[in-house]
Amino acid sequence: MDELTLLRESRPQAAPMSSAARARARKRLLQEARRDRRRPGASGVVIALATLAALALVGHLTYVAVSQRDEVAAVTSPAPSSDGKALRELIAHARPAEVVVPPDDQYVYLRQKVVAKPVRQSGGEPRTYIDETWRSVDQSRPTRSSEVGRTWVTPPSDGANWPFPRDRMRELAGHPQRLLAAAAETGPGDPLTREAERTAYFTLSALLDPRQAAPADLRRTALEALAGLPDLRLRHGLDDANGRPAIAIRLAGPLHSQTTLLDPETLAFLGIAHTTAVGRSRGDMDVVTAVLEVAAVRQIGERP
Amino acid sequence: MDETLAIRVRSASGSLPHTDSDASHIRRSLHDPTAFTVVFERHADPIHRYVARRLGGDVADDLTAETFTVAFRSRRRYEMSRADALPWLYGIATNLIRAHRRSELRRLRGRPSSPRMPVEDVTADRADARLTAEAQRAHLYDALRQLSARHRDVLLLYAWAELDYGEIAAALNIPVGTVRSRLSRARARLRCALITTDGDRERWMS
Repeated sequence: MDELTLLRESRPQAAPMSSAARARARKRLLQEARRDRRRPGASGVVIALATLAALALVGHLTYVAVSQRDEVAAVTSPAPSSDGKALRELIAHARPAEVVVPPDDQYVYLRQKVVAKPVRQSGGEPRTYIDETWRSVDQSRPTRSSEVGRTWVTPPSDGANWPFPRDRMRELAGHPQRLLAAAAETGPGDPLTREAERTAYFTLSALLDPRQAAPADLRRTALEALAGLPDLRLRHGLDDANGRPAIAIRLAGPLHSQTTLLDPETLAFLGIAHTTAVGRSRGDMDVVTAVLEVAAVRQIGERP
Repeated sequence: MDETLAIRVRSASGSLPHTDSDASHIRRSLHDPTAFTVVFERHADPIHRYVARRLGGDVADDLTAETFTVAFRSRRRYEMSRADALPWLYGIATNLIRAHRRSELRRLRGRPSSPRMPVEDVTADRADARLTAEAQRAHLYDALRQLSARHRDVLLLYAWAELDYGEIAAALNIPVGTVRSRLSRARARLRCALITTDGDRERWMS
């Protein structure tokens, strides 16, 4: 036995975190989160006012106020990739998808299958999980999520809804350039940097996830905005975790982004795919998900 | 899955894979601070376990809470290309543990309990084996106590938290080469202490 094995085997016993300790730690974190929200520097209102003031200084305020807001909000982005053009073609010919958008005061229920397969044969057996989520549509009530067998509750959001408040979602529907600018978190006329593109991809692909309960026209708008990303990549011939054929979109580049799986005919969100490392002993796993069921429900725990 | 499509998301060492990356929730938390609770729910257990092993359960409760509070405050500086936040959290916890260095040394001197053989298995041979193991463990803890904090951090992140070299480098914000050299030196010192104190080099090396 070498010293490392002995050290591992001699690990002191550690009692699991008690539910009381976990609750105290969670409460402390939430208090910190609420303080952060009230902090002036983090306030979206303050940021917006500062932006407006800066624009006024350079004589653009009147321009912002005019109705041509799409042009003002648009980021300066390079031409879309050939894959982006292919996605636009698919959008143009997509059949309408069945979309579940519960009223703002209700919950969106989602059941999904998660399959985790070892990348290498020695990594262990494939595992399958069924996860459920009850997400408060306007985030005014708690959300309950289960993730590969563990469940937790996320508290209400106090109005700072992500990615956008419900009213803002409805405003942005039908305006891909405005949505792209909002998702990229860029200022008027700013170039679309790689970082801004990554931010935009993350937010836009999240809008396709049924858990966000985005209106149907906003989902289409998000797809159109995604098609405009210069580093977007599209691939056919993949399957989701339930064996359904899918097309996959992701962002190219050395940094990581999640692959989004879409129905080839309707472009409805099917799931995601990524490779995950779960420790040296078990090796990497290819994780693929599949949405099994989406429904509008009135409360946590209710199933369709 | 095609390698070019495969998106590598680092997940909790030894824990189950996540369907969304930690980075995505940290990014969300910049707009909706409560989104950070997902990171807490995912990683509170391994962080607590690690701290409890180094400092004991009483301190672990508070220090785990402190780890996530510090992480939350510094989340704007989080490197979003790192999908898995666990190494970052281990790094924060390790920094906080350093402030409790004396407690840790006291704990190592007291030789905290580790898993033991069940009572029904204690035959004479096994009792001998247990005594040997107990003696080795005592020497091991003495050697751990004598390591410098930076060597101990690297060694325990590797052996107890089961991070790999790259993850330790990310956790402690040091180059991977430094991780290798510190780990190598720490292991050599442990080995040396065990051989010297055991007095039976051949048995140890066999």
